Amino acid sequence: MLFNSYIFCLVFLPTVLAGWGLLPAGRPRLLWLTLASYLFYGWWDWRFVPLMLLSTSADFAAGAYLGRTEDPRLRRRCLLLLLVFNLGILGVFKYYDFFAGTLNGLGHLLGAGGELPLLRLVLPVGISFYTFNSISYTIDIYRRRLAPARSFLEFAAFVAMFPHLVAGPIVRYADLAPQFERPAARAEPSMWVMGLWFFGLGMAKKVLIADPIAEQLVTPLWRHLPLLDTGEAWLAVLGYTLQIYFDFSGYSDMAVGLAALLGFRFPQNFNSPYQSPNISEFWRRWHMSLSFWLRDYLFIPLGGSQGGLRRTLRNLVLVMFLGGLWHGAAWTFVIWGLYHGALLVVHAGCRERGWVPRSRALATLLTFVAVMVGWVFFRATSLTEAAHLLGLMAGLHPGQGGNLALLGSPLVLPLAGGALLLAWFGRNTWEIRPPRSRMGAVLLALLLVACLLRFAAPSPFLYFQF
Amino acid sequence: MTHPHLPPESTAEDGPFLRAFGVALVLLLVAVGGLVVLVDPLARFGTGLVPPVVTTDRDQQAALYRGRHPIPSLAILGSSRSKTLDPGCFSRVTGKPAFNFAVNGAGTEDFLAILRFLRVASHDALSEIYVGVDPETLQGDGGVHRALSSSRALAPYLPAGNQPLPRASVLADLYGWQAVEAAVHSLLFRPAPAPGLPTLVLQPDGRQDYPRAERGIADGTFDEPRTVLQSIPGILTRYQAFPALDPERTAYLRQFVREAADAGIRVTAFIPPVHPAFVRAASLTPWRERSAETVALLQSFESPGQFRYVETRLLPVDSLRFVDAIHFLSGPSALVAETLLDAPGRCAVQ
Repeated sequence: MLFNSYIFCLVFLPTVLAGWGLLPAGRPRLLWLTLASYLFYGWWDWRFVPLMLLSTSADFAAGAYLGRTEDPRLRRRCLLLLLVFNLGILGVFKYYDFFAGTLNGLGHLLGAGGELPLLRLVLPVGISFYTFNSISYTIDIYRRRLAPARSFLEFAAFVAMFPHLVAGPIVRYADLAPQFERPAARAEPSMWVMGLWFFGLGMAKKVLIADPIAEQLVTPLWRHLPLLDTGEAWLAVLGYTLQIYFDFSGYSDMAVGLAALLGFRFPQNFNSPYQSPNISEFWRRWHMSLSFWLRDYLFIPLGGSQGGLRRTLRNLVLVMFLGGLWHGAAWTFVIWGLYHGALLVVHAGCRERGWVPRSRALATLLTFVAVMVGWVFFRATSLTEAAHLLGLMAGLHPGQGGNLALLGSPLVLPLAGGALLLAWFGRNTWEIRPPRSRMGAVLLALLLVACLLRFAAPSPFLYFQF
Repeated sequence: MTHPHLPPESTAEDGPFLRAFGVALVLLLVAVGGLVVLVDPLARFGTGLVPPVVTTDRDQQAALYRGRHPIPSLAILGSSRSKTLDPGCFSRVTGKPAFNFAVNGAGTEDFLAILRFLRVASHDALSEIYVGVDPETLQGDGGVHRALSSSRALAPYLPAGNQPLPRASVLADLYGWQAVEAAVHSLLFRPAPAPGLPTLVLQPDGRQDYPRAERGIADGTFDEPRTVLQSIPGILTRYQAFPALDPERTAYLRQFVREAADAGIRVTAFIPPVHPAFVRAASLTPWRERSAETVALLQSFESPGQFRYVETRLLPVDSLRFVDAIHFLSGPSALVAETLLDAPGRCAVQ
């Protein structure tokens, strides 16, 4: 079930909110939320539901064991077992075919006989997100920074909570535990205002900006890559750069808004990332919940920046490599992660030597272009396609040109221009104070209905595939 | 945690804001939904105050067919170009109750869906089909015709993979941009009802008549040559993007032929004739090639007792009996029927 669908907006959400409001705070509401979230998840494919339930049960049991066991050896074993279990599920469903295919290719190249069979499993929606949610829960208990969930229901509600289930933000149990433990008897009006504001703006970002740019600019140009000239290639990549930002940050805003409507506070996931003057800051502003997760559960355990520059750089590259792989089981994502790792290394080296542009505008533009180039790997379906597009952008291939006629509408260019200005200079949803006038309310309702009219051909969010 | 969270602010304006939002949202939803239901531009709710923007003839034909007694065992399929073929003549010659199930803008998937519908609705009494396969029925134009996928009677018989998605399809028709835009368009640009005879009339046996044009021809007030010539450029544009017969629609036709044969239904295929002026004008477009390919395709299906192709393209049709370049009236219609039935003089207009 997509947020930008009639069934979600006109049936599911009003029903869930009505039930939430009518039921007493505490267990009845949590049970309602959990059941609704499982229905929301099962709407894609009911076969995914037992897998999530299994993962939730295992993590809850491990958390409870870690909470009551003092023996460090047993605790370490339990954590290791849980990590193997969680990453094993992720590995089988998401990465097995990738590695098997790679090994088969290598074997073929070296003339080795035999092939590993490919499983061709359907990737459960949102598995990367809820696995990371669960892992952080177990590790936090192991580190004694978090007490185990008081009940299975609370933990199941946390894992399955539909606002963040399929594409984040990656919420930690530590964020929500106090909210579970002290549920508000009735919804705060201010939370409703914030919820509607975030949901409406997020929906508009997705439906009125990202989708038209995708349909009318990115898809037509990307479909005709071999014919593009240099300018058109840059335009295609710029379109995707805008699409992915407005798509994913729109989804995140909607998730924050939906959580607020239920009385929960979610962390910020985007903070105007294209306004970053360097790549390091970009990663503190883009998909923040993943960046902080990787920092806290991977970068710091690897030694972080404590072991000298060389070790810091190694850790950065390793973390970005794994971050790339988290996004998808494909070499394009691996290269994208390594590319960002390299950018972070170059930035750290330059900063060490004081080689940074004095002009913030220039620094921001350079960072933006570097990020744009990275999106080529992210969007490309193969390394060959990425290499071809980069060649076009560098002017190495002649290209035919004259492909602007392929655009779905000439209006998409001013739309993309406006979106670019918004991304560069605009305030983000968290920085804008919701208008609390009646006129503001009417305009927000109009905005939501305008989005609703575009639901007939719903398009999934880009990050659902991860 | 380092994450910033939502500011826990609360003001006295929250209540009025939420009330205004709720009222505005409900009013907007009711207004948009009400407009679409009342105008019903896509003929989804049966409540239209003005004519819908989509053709609804598939459901009308289905309702007429179900109401026929005895249930017709002979059916005429095709596009609007076959709609004037008179089932009465087919009944007289063959002795079988007949029905014209030609539909506007037909694609070959229509033939398949209608065949399946007719077999069920006739309790397998259907034994013979005459199908007008003009080349446009094999033109790829981006999927199943909206009129077919939204037809309540025929949509359940759509070829596999083209079933309308059940999810929220009613909500999509209520709040989709297409429906709202069509509703506004219908209201703003609806044609004023013309006085006198109606332009089109659908008869109980499925045949479509053009009373106004027929009367105009009879009393000499219908400027047929000018009407035909004016219609040619618009029709020719369909052939500008028609580089080949569509593989998907070719497959649907093949499936139609196979299912008819399996059910023991005899099929006679033909290509409805067009106005001689159109033949001349279209000779420089891919029309000639696509027509030849359509003939070759139909001939490839020929099988004694099961499928035959009858050439009707080159009949000496009365060029003064056309309502436009491709839609003939009763005179040519009778000639086509007599040729298909191999019964000269049996269908002449009285």
